[in-house]
Amino acid sequence: MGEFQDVDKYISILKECKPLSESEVRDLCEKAREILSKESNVQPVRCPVTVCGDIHGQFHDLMELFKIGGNCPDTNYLFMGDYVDRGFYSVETVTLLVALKVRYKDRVTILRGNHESRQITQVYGFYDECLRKYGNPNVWKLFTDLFDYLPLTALIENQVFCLHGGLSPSIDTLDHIENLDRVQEVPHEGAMCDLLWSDPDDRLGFGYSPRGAGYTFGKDISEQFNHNNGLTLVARAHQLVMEGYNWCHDQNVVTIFSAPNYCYRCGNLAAIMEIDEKMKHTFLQFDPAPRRGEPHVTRRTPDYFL
Amino acid sequence: MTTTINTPHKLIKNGIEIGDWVIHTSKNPILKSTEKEEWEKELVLNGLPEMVYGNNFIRLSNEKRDITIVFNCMDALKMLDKVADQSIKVSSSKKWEEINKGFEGQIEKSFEWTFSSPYTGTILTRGHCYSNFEKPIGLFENTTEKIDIEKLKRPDPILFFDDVLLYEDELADNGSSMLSVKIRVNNESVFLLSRFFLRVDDVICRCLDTRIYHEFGKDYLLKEVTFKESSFDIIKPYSENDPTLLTDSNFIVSKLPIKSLTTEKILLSYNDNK
Repeated sequence: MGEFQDVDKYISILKECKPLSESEVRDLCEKAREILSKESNVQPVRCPVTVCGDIHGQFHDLMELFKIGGNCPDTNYLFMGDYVDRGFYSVETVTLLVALKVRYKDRVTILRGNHESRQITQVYGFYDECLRKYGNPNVWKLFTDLFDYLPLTALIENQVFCLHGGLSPSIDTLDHIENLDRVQEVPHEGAMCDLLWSDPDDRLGFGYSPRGAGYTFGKDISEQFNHNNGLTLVARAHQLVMEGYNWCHDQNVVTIFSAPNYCYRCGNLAAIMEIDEKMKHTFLQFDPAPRRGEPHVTRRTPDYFL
Repeated sequence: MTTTINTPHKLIKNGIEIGDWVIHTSKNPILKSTEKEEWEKELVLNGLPEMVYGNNFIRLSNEKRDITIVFNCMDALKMLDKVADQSIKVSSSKKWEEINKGFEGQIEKSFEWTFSSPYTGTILTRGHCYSNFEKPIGLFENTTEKIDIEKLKRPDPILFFDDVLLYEDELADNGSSMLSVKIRVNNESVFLLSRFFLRVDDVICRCLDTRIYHEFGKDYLLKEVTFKESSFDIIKPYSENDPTLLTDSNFIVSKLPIKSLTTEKILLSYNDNK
């Protein structure tokens, strides 16, 4: 009983969208690090499980997600990264997910997204939000240090491979991923970077982006990867899709995006993928939660722009 | 000074009728996946912005004079180059390319990934549709007149206001590219600002502003196009102090040097003797 007393308290505070104190976050992150550091780069996951994509600090929509998908621990969850940045409640969102991980470590899996990084969070909102809510960057530091321990990928029943971004030219087999040293800031290049950043594409092979960094991977790559590793599916997140999920590469790859009305203005649906005990999958789509404190629509008050 | 002119007007759904003008805006979700694929085909582009607000627009119509001015997404995307500007790469590209050269079978999927469209609006008249570079004789006139900024600074009551996104892309978290249009109408005038804003972190910032200004009763509209651009060095000292300034496009635009500025009149008399 005593073991989870603190964490249960944290969860009940967080579910009201209230941030924890700095010392509570410190305590939580220590507990989480202990658990995450024992997890594998390809963390095995049992079915049934519900697979979720980007959340991006949209706390009320995460609550809606639990309403649609079922509460923890009644439903097992696998989140594929990007908990922070862009939305207004990155602090509450990531703290809650980490708390759920600590409380139900075998029922909740949280992977690393490209936003779980020191560099990205300084530009896209999480750092700023921590400063605003705590008056100093300590909580940001605690979380970004913890992010280094998040597993990069997960494998459901040796069949469905889950990760944030996509495939990499330097990775042919899951063993290659096991051998990566993941406990570090997300590098700008190399296998670990690709797993968190790459996108599927309608062109064959590995393509490189005209931006000068980042890979795309084609249908041939996905088919071969799934075949080589005995997989049926790659489930990934990372890209906004209007319908919340999107099949590609002849159903070798699915993109799942779980932040409805992304950035409070896109009008997109969110989705989660339920995988049942027979490994059958079902997609559940959902709209933004009716919310307090967050803007409903983008229509702003008139301003005297020049 | 207080406003003395009182132009007859009526608010309508998503717009306003004022004087001879009907002003209308449309705001909708981003395109569906299938629609986006169709647009890619139609536009012959390898890549579209992540968020395409394909059904959004702002329209100003003067039926009596047969002139309509529209800002929409499709016309803006039509003006994109088909291939990437090789002079702009993200900041990490040098290191990335060094590490990643040597993998076989790699191809570059080229598209104008900064989505820098030169679009400054569409004019519909006499059944024709003109964007930027097509200038029928008699529709435009060079002018030294400037948009009356002092008048626009006055806090006159705003009868209608809207703010419409046309497209947006996060450049794979390397910055931001966004085309948006704002409009405000008061008793005397209508003022519109279309802004394309680009920020490639640690590389470049640019902005293309199109301002349309019309005082009701006058025989023309003023169209002012301002292009601003600078390397990131101008922004860096500010953003190092306060990284949140990076997401404040108004602040960045205010710091960018003007590269070109043109003002012309759109003549409502264009169709008077047809």
